Amino acid sequence: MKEYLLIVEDLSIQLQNDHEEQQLLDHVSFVVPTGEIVAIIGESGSGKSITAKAMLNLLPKGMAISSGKIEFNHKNVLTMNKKQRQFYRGTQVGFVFQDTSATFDALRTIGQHFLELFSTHTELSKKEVKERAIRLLEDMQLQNAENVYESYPFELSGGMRQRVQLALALALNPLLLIADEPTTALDSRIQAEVLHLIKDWSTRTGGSVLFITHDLGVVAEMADYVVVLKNGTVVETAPVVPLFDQPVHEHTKQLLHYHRELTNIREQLNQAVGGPLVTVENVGKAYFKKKWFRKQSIQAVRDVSFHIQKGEIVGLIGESGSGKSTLSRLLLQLEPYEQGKITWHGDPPFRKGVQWVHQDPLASFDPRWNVEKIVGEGLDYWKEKSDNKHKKVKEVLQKVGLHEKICSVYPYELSGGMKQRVAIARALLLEPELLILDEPFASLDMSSQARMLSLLQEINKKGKTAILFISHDIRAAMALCHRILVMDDGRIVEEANANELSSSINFYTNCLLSSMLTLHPSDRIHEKNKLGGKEYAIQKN
Amino acid sequence: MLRFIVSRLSESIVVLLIGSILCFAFIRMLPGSPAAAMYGDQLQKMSKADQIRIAENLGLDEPIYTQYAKWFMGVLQGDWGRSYNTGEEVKMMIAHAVEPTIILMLAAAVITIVLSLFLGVITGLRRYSFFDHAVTVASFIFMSLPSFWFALMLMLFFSVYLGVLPTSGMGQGGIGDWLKHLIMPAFILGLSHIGYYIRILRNHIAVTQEKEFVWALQARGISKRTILWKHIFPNASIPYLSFMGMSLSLSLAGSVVVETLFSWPGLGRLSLKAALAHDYPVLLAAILLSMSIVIIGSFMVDLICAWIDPRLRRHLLKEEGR
Amino acid sequence: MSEKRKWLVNGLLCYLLFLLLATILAPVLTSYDPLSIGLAKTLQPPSAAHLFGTDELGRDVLTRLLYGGRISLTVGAAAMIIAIVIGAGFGVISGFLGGVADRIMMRILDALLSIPSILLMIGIQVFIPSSLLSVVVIIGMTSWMPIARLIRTEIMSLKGETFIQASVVVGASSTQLLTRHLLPQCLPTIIVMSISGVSHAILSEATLSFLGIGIPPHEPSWGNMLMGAQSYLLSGAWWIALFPGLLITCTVLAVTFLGDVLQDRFALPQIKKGGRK
Repeated sequence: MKEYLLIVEDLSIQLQNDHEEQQLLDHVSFVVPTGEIVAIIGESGSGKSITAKAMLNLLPKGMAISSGKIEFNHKNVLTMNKKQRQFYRGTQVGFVFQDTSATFDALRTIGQHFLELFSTHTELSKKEVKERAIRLLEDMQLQNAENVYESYPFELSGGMRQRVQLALALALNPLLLIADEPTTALDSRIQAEVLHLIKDWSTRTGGSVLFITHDLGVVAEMADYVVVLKNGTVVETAPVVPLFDQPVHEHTKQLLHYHRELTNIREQLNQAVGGPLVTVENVGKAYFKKKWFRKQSIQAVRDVSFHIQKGEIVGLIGESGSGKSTLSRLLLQLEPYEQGKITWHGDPPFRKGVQWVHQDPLASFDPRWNVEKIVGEGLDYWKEKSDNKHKKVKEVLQKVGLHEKICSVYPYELSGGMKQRVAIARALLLEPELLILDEPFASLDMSSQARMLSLLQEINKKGKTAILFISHDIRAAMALCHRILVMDDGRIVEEANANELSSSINFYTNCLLSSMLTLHPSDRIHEKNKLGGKEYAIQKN
Repeated sequence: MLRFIVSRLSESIVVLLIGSILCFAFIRMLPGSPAAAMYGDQLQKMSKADQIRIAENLGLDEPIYTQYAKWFMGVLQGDWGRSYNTGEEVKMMIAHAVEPTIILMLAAAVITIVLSLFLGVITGLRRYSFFDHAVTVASFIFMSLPSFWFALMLMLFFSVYLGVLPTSGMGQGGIGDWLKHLIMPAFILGLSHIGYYIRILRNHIAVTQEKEFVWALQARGISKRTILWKHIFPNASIPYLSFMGMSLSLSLAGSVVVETLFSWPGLGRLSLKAALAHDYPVLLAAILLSMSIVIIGSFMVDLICAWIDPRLRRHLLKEEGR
Repeated sequence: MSEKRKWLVNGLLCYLLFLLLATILAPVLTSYDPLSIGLAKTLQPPSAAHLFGTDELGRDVLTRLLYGGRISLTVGAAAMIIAIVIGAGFGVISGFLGGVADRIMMRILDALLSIPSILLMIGIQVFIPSSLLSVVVIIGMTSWMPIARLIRTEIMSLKGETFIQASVVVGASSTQLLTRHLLPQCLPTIIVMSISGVSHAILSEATLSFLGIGIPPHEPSWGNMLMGAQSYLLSGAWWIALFPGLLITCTVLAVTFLGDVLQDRFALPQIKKGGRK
């Protein structure tokens, strides 16, 4: 018989406000067997994060557990006294969050975070703590662990912070690690490494993992068991391979369908080549930082040349800091460039012909404006007749699959996918020839991602609009684009057709390719060197 | 840190220079030339040649920036002129007035800090409790109270009605008498801005409490008390401290009123007396000195903030670089 | 907004409206003349004839309070307008220009801010003979600096916002950015600041007049009614000092509370919706 480390039975959680009462979790039950990895998958709003927080009995204000039982190692978590609770939270369960910058006290160094943890739960001296912490950080494959130990959180990159968080969570050898979307905000290469670290820890120490995610790719890569959550209820529980092969519940089937669509590499080439639209020649951009009296320059984009054809979808792939966002800002004329030349071959003016969809659509809307005003803004600047405006806005909303009723709605009331559509509508209103999409999938659920993918393909086909798709997700780019540019350290290191990219011989591209998540749990080969990027990272540093 | 200190210090010096230029412009805009100010009515009776000679002696024929430079060097060397009214050296008058003002301000600061820390932390932790509401209402009342009227009411109660506290001066004999004279003005000055301090601390304690890192610390089993004093409090104290830096000039302004009311022989009373008597050199010296105190004070507060918050050290430098 | 809060706001508005009406209708409400001196009835305690007593020159305190309200409220409103115009203008220009111009303007602002405001007022007072107008100008000209700083910070941070860049991409020019996005975004701050500006101006007028460098003594204002009060207070005529001070406190309190409520109201819609109290 299997040993169960964590047993959750009939857990219900309610949100109680002055005005409303809402059932967030409805009789959720699942188990985590000792030494196994259980993934909870669900879309946003399914209650998966609340489930994770409930495991520590640390719910946000206004939420309360209304029924159910959480049993950890044969002890009831919900009835522990203060001392037991501290012991349970600190030493038996480790917790890793998604947002890495918000989970550290910005005023304290990493070392102080470790010291505090150890001094609460152990009797170690300062020196011993430092030694232990540095060993832990090294286990997490952080270079210069000593430096990291002395650093402040804001001095580290997102990937480094996530490793530190993991080191903190695992510092006291917990029996269970709870990871809430730990890799969602990370580049795929770092994601693969962090996932590997978690997996490795589990097999090495026999610890269990409760993994919360919205990404079936991560599930395929990691999980032994899967719990599918929808609107606060468990719709399916199964071991991972059967779940992928014979999903039972409709919701699971749908999720798998979206997953396949998003990972399906585009086969057909761009037939209609309508001549060049924009050419970029030897463009460079540097930022300056003053250090004492010297100026220090940071070259964000170096000597970049490429072109985009009319009606073509081009992917620009790179990790954070590769200069891809800077490049897009140069194309959008939001910043001047020092070297090189960008030539526009489409209809003038350039400003109107190139439009933009930002990765965080809500931030790109004036918070005081409703949807109609936001979408229609462009018309005001290009001298269109105002009686036309309402009709045009309606048309373009229809084009992106939104009902005209939302004209008077404020964007914060919309779901993530709808916000993204509003942003696209605003861009399309000016009938651009080139649409620049900056990480458009970053904040979306899988279902919205899949719908967005087909919307973009439709826009491209119908309107002959060229699209520059900027992303860190190589798989999404392969599913959408005709041609892909790979960018690293300010340079374009490879240019290839989407269906040829997988046979690339470029070292960096291969690093990216090898860090892609598996499509199916049976493809999982742990011996496979998923850390192909590791040596590269060392080189780079 | 060194880089931060250097760049912040140079900023303060620039501000001080600009301030001194403003002051210089101020004396130049005063009715009557410096010569007239020095010789008074006699100047009218002198011959044209004498007048020019005097102007040359005073350096009035030189370009305006040389005059400013000379004047400023003089100020730095303590050459602040003589009072029009008493003929006393301004330097000496100011020197006598500084100490009482500093004593009063320090006493007021202690009162403000102790009370606002206590009340701000408690109300921040227990938002919307009865105690919180009571403190909030009291804070608003203290924000709205004209300090001179508050002083009058306290005088009415403690001096006229109870007859326990004196209403003027610093007292002559012994520490007890001195404290008796100090307590009322210090409380009035200390309470005059306490409402803002309490509100700022309360709001930031409450906001910080709901940050995700607090949750993460709890998840690591750190005790509530440690989280409050080692994490929430330092984070919330930054805006509190910066307000302190900004309000230094407010409390100097407040000291003008309080010192006048209680005949406290400090800088504020001196400057008001000088202004009412049109004694410009004294007034100007008082303005320059108060300005320097505020600039130095806010420099120190910024240093403390940067010492607490590593991001501030970087932020300022980044802003400079752009 | 909770029910309690609504009542509070309505109450405050009623009080301010009542005050405004009372000062406007002063000649109807009282038969005394605020300026006429009656040496026969100096320093009378409150009675049926003189509800709030009489002052050292035998003038009715209530009458002077009502007429004084006209001046104090006028100063409050007018000085606030001057401060807002200068402050918002300075802040918007500095923040919008950015770069070297912004840095120079900010250092000037720092210098001005580091002079205690009352000394600044006294400094300007030296030039202008004191009158109602001079008090308004002085208070206005010495209290715009915090407003300028706040607006400038807001413009600066708005300039970095994504939605501003999004507007640039759809074709907005600099002036369009300013008029369509930046200024409307700052409006809540400007309104909140102008309300706190009114309370600041009322307090400053009172302080200046009390120190004898504000409104000329013969004209009644809440501040200069308190001017001589200190000496009479010590001899027991408490009513001279009590009522003007109470009125100042209540009025400033009402305005401050209103500003605080308004600040919450102006919070962005998503924050309001977020279910926070």
